[in-house]
Amino acid sequence: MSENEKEGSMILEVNDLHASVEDTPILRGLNLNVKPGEVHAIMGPNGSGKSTFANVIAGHEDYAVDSGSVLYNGIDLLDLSPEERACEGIFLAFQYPVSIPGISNAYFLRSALNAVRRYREESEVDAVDFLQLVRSKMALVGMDEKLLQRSVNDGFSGGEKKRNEILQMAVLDPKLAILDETDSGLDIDALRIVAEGVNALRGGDRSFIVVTHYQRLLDYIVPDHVHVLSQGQIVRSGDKTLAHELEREGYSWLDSGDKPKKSEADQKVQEAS
Amino acid sequence: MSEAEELQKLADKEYEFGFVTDVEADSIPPGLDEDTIREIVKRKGEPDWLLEFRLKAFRHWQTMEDPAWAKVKKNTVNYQDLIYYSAPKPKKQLDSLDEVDPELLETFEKLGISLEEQKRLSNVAVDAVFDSVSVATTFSDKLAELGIIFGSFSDAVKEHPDLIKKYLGSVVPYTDNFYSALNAAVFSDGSFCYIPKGVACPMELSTYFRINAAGTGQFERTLIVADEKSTVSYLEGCTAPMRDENQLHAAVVELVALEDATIKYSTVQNWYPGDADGVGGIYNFVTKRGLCKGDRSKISWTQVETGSAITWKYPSCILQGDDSIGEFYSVALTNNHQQADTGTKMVHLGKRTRSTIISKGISAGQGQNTYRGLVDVKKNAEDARNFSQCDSMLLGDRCGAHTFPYVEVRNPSAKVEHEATTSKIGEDQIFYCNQRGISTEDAISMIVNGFCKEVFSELPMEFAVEAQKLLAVSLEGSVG
Amino acid sequence: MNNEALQHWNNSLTGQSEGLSSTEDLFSTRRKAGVDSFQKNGFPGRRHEEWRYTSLKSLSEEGYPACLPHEGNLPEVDELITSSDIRIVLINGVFRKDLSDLTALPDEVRVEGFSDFRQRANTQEIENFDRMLPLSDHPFQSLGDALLDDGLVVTAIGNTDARIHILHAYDGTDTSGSAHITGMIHLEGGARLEILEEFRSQGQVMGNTRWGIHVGDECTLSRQRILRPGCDVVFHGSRVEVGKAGLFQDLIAGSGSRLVRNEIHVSLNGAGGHTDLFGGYVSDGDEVVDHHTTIEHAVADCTSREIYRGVLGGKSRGAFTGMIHVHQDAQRTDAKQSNDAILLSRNSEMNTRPRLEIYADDVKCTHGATVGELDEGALFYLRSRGVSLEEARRMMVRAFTAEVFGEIENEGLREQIIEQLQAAMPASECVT
Repeated sequence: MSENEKEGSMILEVNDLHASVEDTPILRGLNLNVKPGEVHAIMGPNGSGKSTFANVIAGHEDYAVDSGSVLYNGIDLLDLSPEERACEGIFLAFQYPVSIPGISNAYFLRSALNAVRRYREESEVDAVDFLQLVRSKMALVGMDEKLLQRSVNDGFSGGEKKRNEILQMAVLDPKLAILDETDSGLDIDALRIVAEGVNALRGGDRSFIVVTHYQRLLDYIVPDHVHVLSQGQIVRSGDKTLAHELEREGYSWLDSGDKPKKSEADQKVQEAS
Repeated sequence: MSEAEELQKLADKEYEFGFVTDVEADSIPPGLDEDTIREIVKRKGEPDWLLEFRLKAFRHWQTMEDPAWAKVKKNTVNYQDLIYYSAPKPKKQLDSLDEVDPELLETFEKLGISLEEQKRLSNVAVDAVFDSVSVATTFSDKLAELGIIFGSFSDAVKEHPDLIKKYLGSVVPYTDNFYSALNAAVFSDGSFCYIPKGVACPMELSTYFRINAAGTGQFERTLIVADEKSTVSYLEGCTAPMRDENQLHAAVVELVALEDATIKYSTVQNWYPGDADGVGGIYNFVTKRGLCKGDRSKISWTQVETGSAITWKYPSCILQGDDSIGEFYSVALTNNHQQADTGTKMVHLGKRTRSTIISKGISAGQGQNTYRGLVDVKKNAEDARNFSQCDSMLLGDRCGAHTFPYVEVRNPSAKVEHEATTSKIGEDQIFYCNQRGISTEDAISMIVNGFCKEVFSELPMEFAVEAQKLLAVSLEGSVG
Repeated sequence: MNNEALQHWNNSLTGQSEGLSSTEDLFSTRRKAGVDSFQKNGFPGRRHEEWRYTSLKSLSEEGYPACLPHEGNLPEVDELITSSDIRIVLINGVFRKDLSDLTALPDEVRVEGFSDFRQRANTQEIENFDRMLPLSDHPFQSLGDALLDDGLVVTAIGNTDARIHILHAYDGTDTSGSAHITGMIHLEGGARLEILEEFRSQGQVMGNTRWGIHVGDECTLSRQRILRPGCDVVFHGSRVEVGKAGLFQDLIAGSGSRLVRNEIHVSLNGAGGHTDLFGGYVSDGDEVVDHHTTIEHAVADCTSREIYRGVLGGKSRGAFTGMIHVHQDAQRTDAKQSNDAILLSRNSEMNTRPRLEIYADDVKCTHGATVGELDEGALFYLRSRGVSLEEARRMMVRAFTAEVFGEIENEGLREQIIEQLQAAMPASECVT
């Protein structure tokens, strides 16, 4: 594909991205292209750089970009502040959503929504309209309305926090959503509800990057593409069957650089179960 | 833009109310002795009993030493260099607001306090104090119909001497402390308010204080008496021009609540805090105390302290009546080189008396913020209850937050609980807000406002909005 | 306090101190400084902020100034159940080798009196001594310096483990007076010591104890101080420095002392340092129990925990002053403090002053204080299940102090302390 053909057709283009945390290189030449409407899964063992990638895209200051480029709808993403990226339509569902005591969930979300709307030069939403909007979205993720008046993520269970992330996503209506280990700490019922929420938001031009260690989330959110991240690079890409292959064979083959022998993979599955 | 840059940009904004009004002042020369006091009394045309009161206070003050126990660093105040009386000229008996100097009206207009008939806030009566004197009081006629007395202290001395004689110094005696003695000797004006039996005051009463003249100290005196079964809500606001010197504000506020009466006293204090290097600013050394004299009476203090170079005050409640209630809700913010040593005293004398203390201290820049409080349960205070919560928030690593509560209990049936916590705004919290599209500035202001929520909810509506804005402005440049 | 009242002290102080300094030695300057300081400052009155809740008036009485004789008997009290195999006895402030048993002492641990220490100590050790026990204008420490005679030095260096029982005995049956003990505990090279200090006293006696304690990098000192019933005036001053990953645990428990003032100053000087300060007491009559603590978080990444609990009856008074000082560089400090008191009688009184002074922004500091009476609902609940009022109150006190004593590993000792406190439970006027 030539440079010209990419132009306009990609929502995200990551080229040879190198990034480090506290001077330790984590991403070492990552390449990824995402088209509008696609769902990409990024899988990989612990420490492969999955969360680093998610945070770099969102613009976290602790993650330094050393070289490479990231284009988002053709503009240089790395030039933007975290809030500008958010306003441009990038949404990160955090692996560990922070709590903010003293600020109600409703107030927080309305502030965020209005910040995004102001940026898009749209009129702000008043409290009544907002409440209607939120209620309709809450049904989507099966969230208790009481949580609206509680402080942001304060004292929420793991499942409530993750649902809250999806609720925020539904309200803020992003163009590119990154789910960072959204399945961690969820039981199977909560996982199903969260995934249903995500699936309801699929469609149109909205793209997703689903970052996960395990394949089980991908049973519910079926990806168009699956990538394997290892030592800061994407080492394999394929369709959804790649996820199943990883589930069977684990990640240990990455160490040797070879395809795994059958026996090793079986052993891995046993350990995991 | 990074958090630091964002805040630096905002830091360059200046104190909004720092202008000086060019109005001819009628002042007496600097210095303090018995003749100064006689001169004040003469100019104000006060009766002999008040002169006696002042002289007794002055003589006592001379035996006292400038206290040094608070956790503040201050320059020595030379009391002989201060001007003890300054009034805008001409000071004649005003029959209507039309006669108020247009310069003064404009000053208060700029401060957002309109004294003009058509522009007034419909539900707030205002007494405007400019330097040493009260220049105007709105709505006093309407209040008079209900028997409510609200106006300048000077007028009350002439028109209601019995009430003044009975209550002046009854809650804060001139012997109480160095600054209350000084105030009793030289106070020039202030507000007086009396709510008669059974009357619920239909509007908020408000005094707006403005220090304008250079080299002056402001020593006003406020006295509020709520008679049986009455209620009143009172607001106080303050500003001062930017000057390089430290100006002294040593006020005394006395509240008396009789049986079943309720007084709610709210302050939004925005005196000039000095510049970013700590030069200039008001020394705000104020004695505020309420006496819950009658059974089932209630006094509630709410304060938002964002101004002054040094704030040193402890609005207190003496819970004398059985079942009386004292409350203290405070937000104190110190930025740059500001210092605050503030808190409350709850003295439980009566049976089943209850008190609540909620204090929120925010330190930024090199600000030092101290909560100092006393919960004192005396021997006969059966079943007294106190709950205190003191939370501190630190923004930046060069500021300080300190908590010094004193709990003294002499009755076994008392239940006293004190909790304190310290926190900061986490970088992860800011990033989380950023990722949802909220700017760093808004995120900080949102989190700080959330931190202060319990106190703001105690303020009357207009003031709560004001306080939130003030906090945001005062926080500018706080991190980075 | 007026000068006349101090005459007793001042007269005897100079004479006694000079008597001790007949020969020039290591301590003669210290004695001189102590005399000067005390004669200048005397005992502070209650207007002094640090002594607001504790009156020292009774100490100016004639009985206290003279030092107790070196001889004396061990006051008879039930033996404490101790897991220590090393026993050190001090009577009236003098280290009694004849009554002590040091046979089980590991090679890495040295226990000596001042007379031996003076002759043996090298320059570094003398420096340590002066740093950990600095001259001060504190009234009790000045007295201790002025009358410095014998004392105790415990040194543990290297990978060692020992449990020591120190028995402080005061015998004021024949003649009243005071005894002053200064001691130093020095741990280095990962040493671990457990020290049980037991205080027994009879008669009119002021026992003045001062410790300088160094807990070096990766060392652990666990100390329990038990005040047995019958003590008159007890002053304890401890100054503790804790190094990197060092641990200092302290517990003070007691009942039946007329006047207790416990001051402890812990400085966490190395990353990863931790201290636990625990205290539990029951007081009655006109007893006064005053705990005064300071924890300095001088560097980053240290933690501290503080719990003091008291049950007060009669006309007794309790006081707690607890400062937590977090220095500017002490990021990621985690400090928790709580002080709770139960008042059982109309004339009992509790004064508590938690203090936080914080100069670093990334810290977790909390303090909590409560004062109240025994939970009537819980008492009623217990009684409705057939438990007698007396037993119910004992149970409540046990529950109340459980958090303080829960960490004493020696179960026998733990039960013995709780038993001592329960036995001292004053009659309650509040519940009938």
